[in-house]
Amino acid sequence: MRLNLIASVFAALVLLIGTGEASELRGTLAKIKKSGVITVGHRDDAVPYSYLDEKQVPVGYSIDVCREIIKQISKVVGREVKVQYLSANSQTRIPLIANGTIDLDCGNAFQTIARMRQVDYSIPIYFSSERFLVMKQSAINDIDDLKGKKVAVIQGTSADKFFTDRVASQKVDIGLLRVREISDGFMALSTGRVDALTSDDVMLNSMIQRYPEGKDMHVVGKPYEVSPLGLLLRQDDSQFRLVVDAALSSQIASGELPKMMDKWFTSIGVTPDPAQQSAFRFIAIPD
Amino acid sequence: MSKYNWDWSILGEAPYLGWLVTGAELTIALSLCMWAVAFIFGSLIGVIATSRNPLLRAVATFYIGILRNIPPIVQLFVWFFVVPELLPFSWGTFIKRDLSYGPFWTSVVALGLFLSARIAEHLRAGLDSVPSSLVNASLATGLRVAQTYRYVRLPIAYRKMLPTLTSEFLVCFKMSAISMTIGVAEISAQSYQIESYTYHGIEAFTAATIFYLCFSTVIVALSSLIEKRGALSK
Repeated sequence: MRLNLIASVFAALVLLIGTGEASELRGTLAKIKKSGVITVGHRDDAVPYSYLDEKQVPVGYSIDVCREIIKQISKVVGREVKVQYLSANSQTRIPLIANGTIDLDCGNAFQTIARMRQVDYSIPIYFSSERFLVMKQSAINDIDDLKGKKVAVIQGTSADKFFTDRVASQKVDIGLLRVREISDGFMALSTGRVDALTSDDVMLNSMIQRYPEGKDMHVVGKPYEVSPLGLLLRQDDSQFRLVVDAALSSQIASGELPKMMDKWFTSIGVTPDPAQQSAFRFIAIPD
Repeated sequence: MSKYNWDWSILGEAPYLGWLVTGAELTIALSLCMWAVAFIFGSLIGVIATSRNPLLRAVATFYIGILRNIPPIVQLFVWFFVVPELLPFSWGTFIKRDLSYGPFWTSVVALGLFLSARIAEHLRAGLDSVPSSLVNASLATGLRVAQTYRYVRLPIAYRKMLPTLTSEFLVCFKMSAISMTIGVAEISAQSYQIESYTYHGIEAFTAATIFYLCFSTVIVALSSLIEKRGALSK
């Protein structure tokens, strides 16, 4: 079944790419074919999407997803492709993609139109839900309970944008503390500096699992914002993008991607939202 | 290979221009407050370091040794995360919850004190460079020890130190950027913010760089003006 699928995707790709004059590889694919190496950007601390394990090896959901994509790339370029990992944070990844250092960024970048003016995204690999981490003894159950409270947001995330815009337009009465990393936000919450930390619920749950202070905390609230997470690619390279999206679609259709999601997310106590599963049925593009 | 899509117009757009302006204002305000702390405590400790009392000298040596040798970012985190936990509960809660612009004031104290140790060390050297004959002569005219500092030793030391103080202020100005790690929205933090909203980070950081460069140039020019006016006659 799985082999069949891969074979048919491959056949489809060969058909798509291999017709007429378009058979020549261009851009990123040509570069990978020539060098036999693909450079993959990863994050150091985005548990469980993309992070370094105890042996300092990049692991995570996005990394697993990328590994399957790279298998497809190997087939398309007709040679074994070696993976070279490069740590890239949110400030360095865009210049590194633009200047040709990173070919595929496998992290947890949320997609916005403003960002798409500068970089291309694959089809989504996850839909991140922004929720709140609070102390169990607090009376906070959702966004409405935060009136007059202090909330930590991680700089530059969709949650930061959401709250900064609302505080600026005085729609909400919330004190914001902008922290650099999720771990700083976690410390601010555990020392009582803020009443809530808001971020992607998957990352919040991973904090509960990783640190002993987490036993007094829980994740609450309905997702107030959902953002698609995608892999980052260079702009103007539809040939490469096609291979990446086709590989992703086949992973979704074959059920491999939901399986990986279970593997990485259930281990930290997150059950992916059923809506997530149905969303994937819609975004998978048929062969 | 495709290239980075330069778009300088982003810097003039709302709300990004506003962010850069408020960031620049905050950087200047923060630097001036840090400098005030650094100068006051630096002068105090510098004077103590030249005291004849060995106990006072030991206190100054200890102060300088601790503050000058621990990386400023570590000190900032200690002041931000650890100190409020060590204080009595109500004080800690005040600092963490009720103090408005908490991260700003924490940065002023933490980075200001770090710089004060450096200034104290410079001042100690400056005071030592005042000839002892001059100190003895002023004591002979009937000045008390405190008065020799006030009328003779400090004015000479500060004037000699002016170029050093200028570069310390520039250190102070640039070091204010560390405060973004605890959430002060100064100009580097605002550039970072623009980068994560638009992915046009290089443009935003270039704008911040030009701001740092221009402000530093103005400070250097001002300082050399003061130096010319206040120079010790040779």
